[in-house]
Amino acid sequence: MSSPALQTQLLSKRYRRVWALRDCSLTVAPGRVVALVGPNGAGKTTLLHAAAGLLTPTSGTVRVFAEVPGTPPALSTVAFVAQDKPLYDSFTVAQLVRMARGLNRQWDRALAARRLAALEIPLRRRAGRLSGGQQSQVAFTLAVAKRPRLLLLDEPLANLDPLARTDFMRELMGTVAANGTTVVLSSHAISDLVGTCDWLVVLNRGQVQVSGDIDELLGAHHALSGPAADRLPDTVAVITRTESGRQAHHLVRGTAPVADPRWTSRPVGLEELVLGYLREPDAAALPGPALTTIEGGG
Amino acid sequence: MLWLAWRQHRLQFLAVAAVLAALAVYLIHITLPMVGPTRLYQTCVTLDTDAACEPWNEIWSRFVGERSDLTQVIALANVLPGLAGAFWGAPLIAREFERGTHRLAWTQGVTRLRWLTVKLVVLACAAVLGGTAQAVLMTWVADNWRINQTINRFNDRILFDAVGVVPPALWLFSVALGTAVGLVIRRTTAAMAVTLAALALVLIGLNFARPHYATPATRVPVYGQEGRDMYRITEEWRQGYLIRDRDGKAISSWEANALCPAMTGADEAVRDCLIGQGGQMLERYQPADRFARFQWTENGILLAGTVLIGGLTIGRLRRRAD
Repeated sequence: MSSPALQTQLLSKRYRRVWALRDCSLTVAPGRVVALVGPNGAGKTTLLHAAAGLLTPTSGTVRVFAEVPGTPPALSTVAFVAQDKPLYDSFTVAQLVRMARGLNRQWDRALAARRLAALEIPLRRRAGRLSGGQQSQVAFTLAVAKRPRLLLLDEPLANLDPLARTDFMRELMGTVAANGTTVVLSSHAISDLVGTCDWLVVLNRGQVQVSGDIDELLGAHHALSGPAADRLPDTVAVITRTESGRQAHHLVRGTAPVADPRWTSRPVGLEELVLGYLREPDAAALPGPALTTIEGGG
Repeated sequence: MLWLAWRQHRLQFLAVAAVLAALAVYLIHITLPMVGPTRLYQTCVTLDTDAACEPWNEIWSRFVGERSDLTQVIALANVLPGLAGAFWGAPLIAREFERGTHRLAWTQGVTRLRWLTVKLVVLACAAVLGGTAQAVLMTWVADNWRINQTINRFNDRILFDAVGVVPPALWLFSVALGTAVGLVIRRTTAAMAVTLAALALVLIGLNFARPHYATPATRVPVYGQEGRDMYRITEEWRQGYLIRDRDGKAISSWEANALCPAMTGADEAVRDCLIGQGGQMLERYQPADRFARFQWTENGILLAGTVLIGGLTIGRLRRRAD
């Protein structure tokens, strides 16, 4: 069995007195497309930076394909696009491509050229004069042309319009699917991730709250609505409860049916699931080891 | 990687080169007329005959005190290594952090260690080149202006660092300092300002240390040279007087003046009066031939500083990227 694409063990990072990540343990199997979600300040960026070798953990370990991030073997297998899509503003697109080609042992010249041409990005224009969307696309092109085994994207959709988001996700997935690239991408916008990601990691307050196969998670949870006055039986694992009028809505784990006909059960969506967990950060609903360990392959 | 270093820093290289060139044009313009007279002077002191000195005797007095403000112009030359530190060194890391581009640069296939090493080597080459160019220029200017008898590269605090073997080391040191400051401060403009201030402090410190590079020689002061010696210009560094009364106690020139009244303090008459009383008056000085030794000492101090600061910077960035 090949080593995990990304593995953290009790990873913690403290900035002065604030813990950005705390005892974060996570395993991502090769080939997965991972949605890393969580509210602002949950530690998404910190986790991605740790995996990219851009910061030193306060404690714990992080490995990418069993290598320490920032070392030559890790650098050549991991590509990272930071949240603000940094580029050298005074470089032309062609010069940025030349730079990346010179700095990486592996470089898919044709892929870079094809992608930039398809996106109609002018090669002679300085990066600082491109639109925000074009800058993002150049940054992604530099990352994918490196042919990484693990692609880390921090808020890749942030400065794209809704149409561009859909196109971008489809196109990105097309690019990486062909090579079996593992992708970890962070986002607030959960709806954009539906259909492209197959693994969910919810980070909250610096800790991993959920980590699991999206289809399995959706299959293992459902929404229960019923009279607010009634109590659910103790056998039902409630994650969150919200009330509207006389109705109570629950996100519950497990498929145990409630016999009472006044209760209705329906499947949950990804967004509903994530929000349910985020509302209860200390929930006993924290997924157990059964959810955080995964079988190899994807 | 070499291409990247050149592409990223070429503007700064050109900017500093332009300042150096502008200074060079000005200094060459004002110094060229001094080349002929200086040659006459050198012929005189080399051959040391009345015939050889004839042409020089006729003109030497014209140059005494000419452009005595020149040291201030020359002081500008010492801004050059500061510019190299502020424009090449300080932005090297600070600008990457400021723009977030370190996340681009340090996640390519090249380690931070290699990235920084290549950049520092490129900047170091540029610094040695710039420093050498400055040294050649300023040494030539100082050689041709000493006939005004106010240019003395040994005792002038500022000129000392602008000529000879010191400038390349000073440029290197400045670039290393700027890089280290940029790593700590991470804002380009602030790092540039701090680099200039820190370099100024180092230069002031060196000025205080310099008299102690060697124990001064002493001699009984000679006043009023005779004959051709009058024209001989020595760039020695006079460091004041050592005066003792008849009991061998060191006294100041004010106290000497009290012992030998009606005199001005440290001139020929005081010397003779003190010696007549059984005292002593000596002049402390660094002979002109110690100039090279002093320059190499300063060069060594700066290079050691460069290696230390550069090593700390490389070690810090290699260990951690945040």
